[in-house]
Amino acid sequence: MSWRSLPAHLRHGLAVLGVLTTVCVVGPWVAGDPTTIVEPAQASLLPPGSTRWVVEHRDGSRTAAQEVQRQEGGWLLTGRGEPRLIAAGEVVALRRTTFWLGTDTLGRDVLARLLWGGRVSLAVGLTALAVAMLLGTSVGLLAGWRGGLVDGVLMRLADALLAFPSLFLLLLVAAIFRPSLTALVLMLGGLSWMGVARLVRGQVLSLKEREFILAARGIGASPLRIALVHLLPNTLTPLSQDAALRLGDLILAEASLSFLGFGVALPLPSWGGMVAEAGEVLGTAWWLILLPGLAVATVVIGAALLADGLAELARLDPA
Amino acid sequence: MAFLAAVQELEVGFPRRTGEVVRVVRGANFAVAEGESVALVGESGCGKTLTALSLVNLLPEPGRIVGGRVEVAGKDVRALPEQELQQLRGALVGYVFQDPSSALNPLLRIGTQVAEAGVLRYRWQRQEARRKAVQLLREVGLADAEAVAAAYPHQLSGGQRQRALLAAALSGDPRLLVLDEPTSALDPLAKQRLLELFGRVQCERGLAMLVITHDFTLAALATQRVVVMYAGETVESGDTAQVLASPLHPYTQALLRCAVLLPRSEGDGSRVPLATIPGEVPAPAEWGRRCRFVERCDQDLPRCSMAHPALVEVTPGRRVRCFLHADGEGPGGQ
Repeated sequence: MSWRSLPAHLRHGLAVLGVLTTVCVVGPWVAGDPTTIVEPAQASLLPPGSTRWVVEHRDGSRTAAQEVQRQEGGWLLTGRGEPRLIAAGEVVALRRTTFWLGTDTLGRDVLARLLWGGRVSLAVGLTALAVAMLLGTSVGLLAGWRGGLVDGVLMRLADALLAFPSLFLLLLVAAIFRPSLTALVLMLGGLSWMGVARLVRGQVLSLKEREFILAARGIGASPLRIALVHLLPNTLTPLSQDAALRLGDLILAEASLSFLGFGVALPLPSWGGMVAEAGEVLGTAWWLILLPGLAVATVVIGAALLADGLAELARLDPA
Repeated sequence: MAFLAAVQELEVGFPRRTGEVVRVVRGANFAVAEGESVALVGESGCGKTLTALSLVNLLPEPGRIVGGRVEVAGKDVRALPEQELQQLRGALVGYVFQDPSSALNPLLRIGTQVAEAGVLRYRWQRQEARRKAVQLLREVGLADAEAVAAAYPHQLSGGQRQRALLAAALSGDPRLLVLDEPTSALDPLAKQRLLELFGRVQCERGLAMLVITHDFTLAALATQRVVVMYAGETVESGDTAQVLASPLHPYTQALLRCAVLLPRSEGDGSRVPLATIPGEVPAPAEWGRRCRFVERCDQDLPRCSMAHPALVEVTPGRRVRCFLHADGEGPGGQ
């Protein structure tokens, strides 16, 4: 099947997520360190596209200036406030830097933070998705295939977890444990497997009545083999749609947690965290809240398009 | 005679929620000798398929064998643990299921599915499995075996799928092949060719065959012995030619009147209309202590409504469950 003949939504979804992932994976190598603070007095809240001279001092700190002039005994920096003279021996490097997406309150480069934050958000979302899929599929297969008491116990557990609003549950756990990145992933994944389990169980319940499952039993295949070779692959179509939607949900959940201050820990940037910080200066620095917000929205929409496209594909090619 | 598979007074039950067990097969008797082909004939819903599935306990949940004896290759199937049953399946008894479009996994290549029983029994490695699958597909008369092995089920025709199913059942080298309505989804020409194929494969491999069918034509063409089932029990069994020539049980007689068996001789002018049997098969709850066929029977005696006949051997190899021919009484309904 060629690229052109795929459903439009599938192509768009794949393109959006593909471009975003590539940019977030490759970008940080180009964009520099997102934690670098450039003297807030001179470089905070610069609008997108601003250009400044950045002076690296011997002690590692950085200052910025609009103009730099060579003078006897050092460099004369002019910008906001009084001009300053810095001794030549103090300066390690002098660079002309363009902040394409502006800077935040601490003078950090928003582009670098956005790229790094994207990397973190996507990585957290995807690994949490993997955890949820693995857990959900195992539970669903086990419950649907074994049936009886096993089914009853596992599904009541899933119901119980589903009964809580998941963000509330996540906040509760996060507030108690102050999670590391790994713990955050496990937590997100561990609280979103229930839908997957239900989906897989439902599929298995209907599949196991099909004659090819009886045929597989008839040639002496063990229950485990039937589950993995015959049942699991036949659940993948609806499972892939669910996974795409769930990816959007998980990235949103991570952003919400980070926004509320319980997610990815500072100083590591994350989209949700950036939105949260931007709230304080909403009136003056529109780019701080708009850009990470747009990034989250784009991923979620991309994931939704992908899910839609996969559903369409399943309708077109029900093999 | 040493039988490869023998079923005596089989009872298959489905437990209800209330704890009561509904026995939908009660009194199935038949045996298949090594290398012999036997037809299990009866109308829909009379328990043929369940009886055949009982051979290696493949009954659908929550069905159970609740009575009688099932022996395969001298082993008591009811006493075997699930793991040993798994080894019997495919290796001793191979099934070809009714519907070729749903008996194949839609997501696996034909070759993979054909080789599966062999992979399980002989631990074939990948290369060997592929080679054997092609070989088996060739054996069942698929000329383009390589292409078929690489195809997915939806890319094949009905006849090709049916053959692929047969190849899959053969790959574990079973000694008994169970064919469940093997030709009902095919047109007459394809049916004819498939029958020839079954005959050839059976001959070459020395297989025993159990053909489940509602079609006496098929029984006549493909089998040596026939077992007629009605309402969950065996009502007549014997040599196919004998049963067809002189059916004893009124049900067998009625069934034969419903079948187009042989081309009627030209010019004799008498056109016999195809008959139907009025009424329908009674549900297990209505079996009671009487002959289960009595309500549809055209030769019933007063006694038929009061006692349940036993399956009696009237001449060597010929058994019938009917008071017209034998006196024995058996246990009745539920």
